[in-house]
Amino acid sequence: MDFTEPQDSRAIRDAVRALCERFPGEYWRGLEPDRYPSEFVAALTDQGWLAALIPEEHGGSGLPLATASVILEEICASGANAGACHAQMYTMGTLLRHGSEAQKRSYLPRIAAGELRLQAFAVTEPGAGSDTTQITTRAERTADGYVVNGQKIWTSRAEHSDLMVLLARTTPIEQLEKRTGGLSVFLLDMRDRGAELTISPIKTMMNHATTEVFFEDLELPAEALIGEEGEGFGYILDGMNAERILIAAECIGDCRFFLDRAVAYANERVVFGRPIGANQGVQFPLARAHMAMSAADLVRWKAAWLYDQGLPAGAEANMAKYLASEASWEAANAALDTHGGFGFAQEYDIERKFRETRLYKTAPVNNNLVQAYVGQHVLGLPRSY
Amino acid sequence: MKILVPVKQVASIDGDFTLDGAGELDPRALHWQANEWDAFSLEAALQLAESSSAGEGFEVVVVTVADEHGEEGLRACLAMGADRALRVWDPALAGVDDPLAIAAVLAAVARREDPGLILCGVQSSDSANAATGVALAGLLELPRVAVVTAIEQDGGGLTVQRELDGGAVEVLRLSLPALLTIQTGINEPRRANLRAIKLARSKPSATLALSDLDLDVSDVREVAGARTVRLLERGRGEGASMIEGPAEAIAGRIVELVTRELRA
Repeated sequence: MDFTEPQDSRAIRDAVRALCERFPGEYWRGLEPDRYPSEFVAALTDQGWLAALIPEEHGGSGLPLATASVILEEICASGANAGACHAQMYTMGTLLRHGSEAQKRSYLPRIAAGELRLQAFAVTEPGAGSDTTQITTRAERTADGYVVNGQKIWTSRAEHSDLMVLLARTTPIEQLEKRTGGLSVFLLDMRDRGAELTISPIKTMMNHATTEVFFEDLELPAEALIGEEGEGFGYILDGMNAERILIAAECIGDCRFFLDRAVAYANERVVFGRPIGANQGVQFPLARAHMAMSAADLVRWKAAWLYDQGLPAGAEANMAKYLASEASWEAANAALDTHGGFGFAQEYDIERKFRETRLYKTAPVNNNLVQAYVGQHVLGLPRSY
Repeated sequence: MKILVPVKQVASIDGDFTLDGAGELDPRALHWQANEWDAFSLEAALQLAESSSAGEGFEVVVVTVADEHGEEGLRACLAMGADRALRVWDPALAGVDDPLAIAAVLAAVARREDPGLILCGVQSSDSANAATGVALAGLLELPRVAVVTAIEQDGGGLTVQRELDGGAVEVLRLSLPALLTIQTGINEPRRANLRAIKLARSKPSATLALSDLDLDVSDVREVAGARTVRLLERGRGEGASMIEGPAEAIAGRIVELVTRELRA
């Protein structure tokens, strides 16, 4: 077994870290509660970081997922928030794997160059939640394309994206033999749309630019369809493993941020005549968080390795996301406790990162559903929901 | 023109290190990173190459004398924009960190490469002799200017500046070939982007043994001006005292101490 990190990891970490140093805590605090980090995203785009997974023939760097995950990990470890732009890295995967040559040639180079942003992924609906097969947003066939009606929710970054990957129903549910059929994926160009497309921001407990999206007789050309009509559910699913592995890496980055800050503070803060880190009540939670992080990180690398080998990675991708998000939440709490009252003060950035990392226990898939997946599909227990 | 840029991976020491009985450092306590000065000398070389009049081909070659720890640093230089990398290593060089010895190796590389300009960092942060560059100029009998803070191309030569004590600036003109040692702050070193990091792997890079340079181990070891006998650890925390009490009392005590130090 070889535990060496992927090629070029060190160079990537150094370069990403140097870029992030230009966007310190003050920058992120200044954006709260709801400004988008446009300057940060522009800097990442300029240096090619968000095009890491786009193949070289389409203008990207064609990195393996394992190497690309280092980029997002390092962004989070520096104290920045990769959630503002991580989807620009992987949303194009649906287009890459299932789009036509013409679609790929038309869009991928411009996405790689940052001229087009594709970082909105419209799947979840108010009435369907995690039960994707129950979505009702309808794309009805017309003479020269489709007309879309319906509503999506928790579509992050839709206001900061030119394109959207949209999952919509093309066959009514009552006409289906298989409940996962009848859904199709479209590449929706959101530019220059009128009342047919309404994007409403949702205020949340952290700065995440998430939205509700309403479609009212929105017209799509036939070329907007990705792959085969009715096969959309499968297309969406196979993009989710990459997303989960990358988000696991972000959580590992968050863990490192919390532990670095908490360890430094615990060593330097003196109360009752000694550093607070000398107290087991402070030290042990940090040690446990470090162990949780280390274990989660191993599963993250294994999941990435499986994915890059083209092997089934569903179980490991889900487990990595679960373990890493639980570890980052543990580290967040330990860091908050270590800092005492100062952890709640905005200028320490602990409370901001605490809110940011909490998201990953809930999204992009709820950790309860990961447990249900492992129970049913890995252990062979009866379906629990 | 070819510009040769000698670089070094320097060791920094972990907070918790111990020396063994022979005064040797446990290598596990060492972290390797690029010498701070080298980013500035490489950036200066890249800027000269970029600003050159069209038609004149520039090649920026980085060189290091190091075991495999040096590879990472060379790749970072290639990612920054250097065209080619050379690493010189021979197991017999292990433990040799003397400026004269390293300069002897670099001189052999320079004779083989025949650069029009050599840009060294002023010093390395780990051994801090500030001598390798000037020793190399001496061995090659090249004109040299140390601690350079500005460079401009001037016809076939260069105009360079160096800062003197008290804020005076010395301006010198020199003809090529020449050697400069470059001070930090002369420019803003660029950062590699993702494409460049990938591209670095396809750039030419070679490892040379001493025999490839017609050098003998004794040629190198004998010129060494100094040899490390042992390392000693200075006692930690000596002279430090904790000031405790309410903020006003602490501030008052600091004023007292600073005033006393200033008078002394």
